[in-house]
Amino acid sequence: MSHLKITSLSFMMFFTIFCNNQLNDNESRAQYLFDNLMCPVCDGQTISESQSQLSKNMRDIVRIKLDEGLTNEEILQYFQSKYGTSILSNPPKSGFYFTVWLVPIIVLPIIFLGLLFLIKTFTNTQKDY
Amino acid sequence: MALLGTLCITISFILSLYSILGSLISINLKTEGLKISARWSSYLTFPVISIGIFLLVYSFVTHDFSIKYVYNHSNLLMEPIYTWVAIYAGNEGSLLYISTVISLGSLLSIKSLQKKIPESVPHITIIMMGILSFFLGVMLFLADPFSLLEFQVQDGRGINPLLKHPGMFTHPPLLMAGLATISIPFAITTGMLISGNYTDKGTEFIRVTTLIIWLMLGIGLLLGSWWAYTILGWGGYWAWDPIENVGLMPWLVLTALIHSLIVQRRRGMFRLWNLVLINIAFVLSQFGMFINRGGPVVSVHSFAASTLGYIFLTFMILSIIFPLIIFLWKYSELLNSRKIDSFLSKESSFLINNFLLLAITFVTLWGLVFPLFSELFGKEPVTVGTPYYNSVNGPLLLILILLMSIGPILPWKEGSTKSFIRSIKFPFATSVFCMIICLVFLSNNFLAVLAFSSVSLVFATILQEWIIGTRNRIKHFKENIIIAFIKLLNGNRTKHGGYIVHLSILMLAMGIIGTNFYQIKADHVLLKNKLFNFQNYQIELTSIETKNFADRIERVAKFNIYKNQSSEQTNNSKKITELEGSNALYPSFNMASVRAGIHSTIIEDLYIVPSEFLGDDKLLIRISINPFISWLWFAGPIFFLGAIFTLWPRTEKH
Repeated sequence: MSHLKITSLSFMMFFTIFCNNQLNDNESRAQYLFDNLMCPVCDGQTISESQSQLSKNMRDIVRIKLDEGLTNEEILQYFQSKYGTSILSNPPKSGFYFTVWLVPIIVLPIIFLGLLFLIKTFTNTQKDY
Repeated sequence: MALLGTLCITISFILSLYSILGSLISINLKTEGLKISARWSSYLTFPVISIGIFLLVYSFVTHDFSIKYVYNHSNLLMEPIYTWVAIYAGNEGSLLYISTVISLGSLLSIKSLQKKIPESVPHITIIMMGILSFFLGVMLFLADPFSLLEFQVQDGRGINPLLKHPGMFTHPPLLMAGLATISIPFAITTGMLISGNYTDKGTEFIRVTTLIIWLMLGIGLLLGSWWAYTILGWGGYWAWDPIENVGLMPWLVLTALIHSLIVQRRRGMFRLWNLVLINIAFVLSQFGMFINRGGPVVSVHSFAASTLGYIFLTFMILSIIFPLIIFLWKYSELLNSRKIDSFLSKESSFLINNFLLLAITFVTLWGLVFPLFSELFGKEPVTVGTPYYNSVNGPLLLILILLMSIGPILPWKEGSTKSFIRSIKFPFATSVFCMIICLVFLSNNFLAVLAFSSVSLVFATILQEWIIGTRNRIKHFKENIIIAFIKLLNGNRTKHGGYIVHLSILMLAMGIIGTNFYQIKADHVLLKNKLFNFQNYQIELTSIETKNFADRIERVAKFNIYKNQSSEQTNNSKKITELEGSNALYPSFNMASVRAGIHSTIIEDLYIVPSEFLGDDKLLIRISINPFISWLWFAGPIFFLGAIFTLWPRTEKH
């Protein structure tokens, strides 16, 4: 294989991979939104997974709103105002609900520092060999 | 038949109570005869309860619909092979199954512990039988699998259609058995502690049991993922659903325990810590039972849902309080004076490993209970879904993988910076090389690149250990390469079995990274005999058929899949396979079961779900490309192999 072929092939590979994320932009946004909305009548499924009629309708609404040119946040807000916060699969990062993110962020580093301190205090400083 | 079945449960309930009482009295009065009889009655619970489960099987096979459980979970059409699944398909039957597993586990463990630590056996018996009698009591008074149907019927309701999958033959029983048998190490440590003989004599036995339980849970979880991937039709294998999480959490804690038990075995350290881990795992397993049987959180797959939630909640709270009291009472006996010699040692890397695994457990638990927590504060309940878990647990997992490369090359006691650098040189170079390759080809996501190169770092570390070890053997013993390698692995099974398991974890990681960062999903309306281009594939809908069965209406869509042969602008695409996806509607259950058409290769899966049938020649499909997902399923056998390799009993040569 000539150098030219190899180079062009690797370029093509690079571009196909690069382009994949650009393809069907509305489609991937729709999929993202499906994953972020819960099905109100199912137990713990997003509308992306659910087979219920309501989820199908909600998926259609998402597509219509996308075609109308709304942003992801606006569409999520629309559903939130209609069904309440529990419609979101991802707790909002504001107000009270921020604690869900905050607790791991605060608690884990504290425990980790505590652990390092513990290892330090328990480390033998007098070598017995 | 029903009467006999209830009788079996009653007898084993009485036997377990007698065993508790007998052991209690024999401890206080030191009566040898009573001690033996109490022990034997604990053994006897197993054959008696086995007769019970046999009677339930018999009722299923003979279609005895006068028994409510049989009526609810089978019908005349059900193939006899599904009896196995039907046994644990509902609340009552799964309780019977769990009781059988616990009594078998206690029989095996008490019998072998009698030789090792006879002085603690009565105490262990009390705890084992206490747990068993709880399950038997619940069945006897609240959820008898043999209770009769109030009315006469000709046919049963049939088995839940979602359970008709090969994965269902092994996933639920393994997971339930794993959760139930965590009570064994718990009973052993607590029993030893109460009896005042907390020695290291039991450590090896605890390690082996923990490994077996951990293996069962791990394989059970993986099979569950496989089931979700093939039958639920989401294209997903893990949804961070509450029911999935309660199975994962004990597994994570047990993973931590397995590592820190190695330290206890090697260095006699971490005894107190291991006890705490066992107790946490036990409480989490009880938490799992509680969530599964009518807990307060919603889940996709609550098969055993019941109104028994509060009974199990009470038992869970007891399982927190009881060990805590024992722990505080016997605290002073647990302390030891061994100290860590250096920060740069295996001991401290195991501690950090434990921290990370517990951190993931904590994050998962916090996400699971947060909806309840927000309700407690009078807020509107909220859903905590995949984005939360992925964004918090993802980095923790990444650090854990990095630690997997550093931990194994650190020596016990004290390591020197110099030798550490020497052994990390080659793996580090490999991962940098991998990072460059990834950056060139997959530059769009730095996190994914980092993850891939961490995986390569661990892989290179293991490879290096094996290559150097084999080379040394060839040099010193003049063996050929294969024999040298086998003997190297055989020389330290715990260590090398662990490496094999690490390899399987790397494969899991590959699957997880691939699907999380590079999955492509789309919905599309297909018209018959018209080609649809999706990435490198071309999909053609060839037929839609509707088949009527006695219990379901099945709609099957067939596809031809073509793949573009080269990336150049030519149209020579080649047919690679035919796929079939179906959507079966079960009117009596008001339930749909969707099966995806999957074309699986090592690189990626093409996954097609027929989501809506819009007519005779029109179909809405959900199509996705899931990179590296098949690595998840290949990881299973390797995980199994590694664990078995570690467990395989050593033949004594001396």
